[in-house]
Amino acid sequence: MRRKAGRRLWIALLILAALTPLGLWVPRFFGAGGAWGEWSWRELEKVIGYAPEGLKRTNGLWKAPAAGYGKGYLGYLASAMAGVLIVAAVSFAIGRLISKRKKDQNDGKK
Amino acid sequence: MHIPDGYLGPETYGSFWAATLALWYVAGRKLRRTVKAADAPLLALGAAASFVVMMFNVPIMGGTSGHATGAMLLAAVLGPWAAFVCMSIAIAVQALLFGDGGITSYGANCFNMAFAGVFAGWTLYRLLAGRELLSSGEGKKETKTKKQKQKILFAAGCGAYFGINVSALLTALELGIQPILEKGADGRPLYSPFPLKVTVPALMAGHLTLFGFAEAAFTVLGISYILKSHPELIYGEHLK
Repeated sequence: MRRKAGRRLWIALLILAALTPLGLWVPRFFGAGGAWGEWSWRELEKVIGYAPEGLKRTNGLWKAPAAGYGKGYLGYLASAMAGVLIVAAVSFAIGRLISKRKKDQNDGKK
Repeated sequence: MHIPDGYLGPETYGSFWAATLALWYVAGRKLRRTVKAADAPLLALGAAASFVVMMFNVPIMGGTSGHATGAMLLAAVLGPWAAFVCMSIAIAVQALLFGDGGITSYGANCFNMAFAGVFAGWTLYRLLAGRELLSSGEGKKETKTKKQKQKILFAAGCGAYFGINVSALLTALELGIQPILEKGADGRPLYSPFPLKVTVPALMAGHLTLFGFAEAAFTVLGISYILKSHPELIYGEHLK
């Protein structure tokens, strides 16, 4: 590919990340709940009257350190910023890893 | 569309983990030939963009909410295989750090959103925009006419709408077959309890009427911005 991500695109991304609290506020404003089918077993129990056994057992398998993208709007914003950083760092590293493997073959060619 | 842990039985999540691992292997082999070290920042940008877009929840009044995924935008800029890998990374961070989507269901979530969503959108995009239109002009400045740009934007909008709806339909099917596949001794479902006739309308109603258009709008806005500021990013060498 050999194409550069311009600075303006990074700035656009950061602006978008700074606006993420809207992603929390807008659904609240319109009185909408979370996504369909993404309830915890406790919430599900309230909806259908029971929690399926296997679901209950595996539902809390992983305790995410910042579950639900933190608390409140500030937590949400901090999650967006932290997430951007981590996702970008991991993708960058994987991009480098993939490209490194064939460096020897491609050296000298442009 | 982020299936949490516990909604899919072992047969289902195991199969999707296997499929996703196989697809990563294929992606790795494809990308080794095309990705250069200098592309790493662009991959980082794409993955981060997908992560951020998924945080913008769009509500259905009084009901549930959903979000765009950025699948089509990533595919148009990075090519489908790199888009698949980047979205997989975003989905992994969502699951591990933020509890958005499960660990057991990670394979299925990657398959639905990062693989099927990307490739369905990409296929339609390429069909509508035309292969020549997308593959020309690598490295050259601004060679597209206004009409050609409109064609690209239209194709991307359609691809985005189609892609996210394919993702949603797969999610609905996977959830909906659980009561058939996995039953306890008492005959009650062990995992996701809703039958297909509930999951398909529940997920598709939101995606066909609203989230699909949110995805299309985000994609068209994003691509038109990139066509102005970095037009070379839309012309894909990855097509060759």
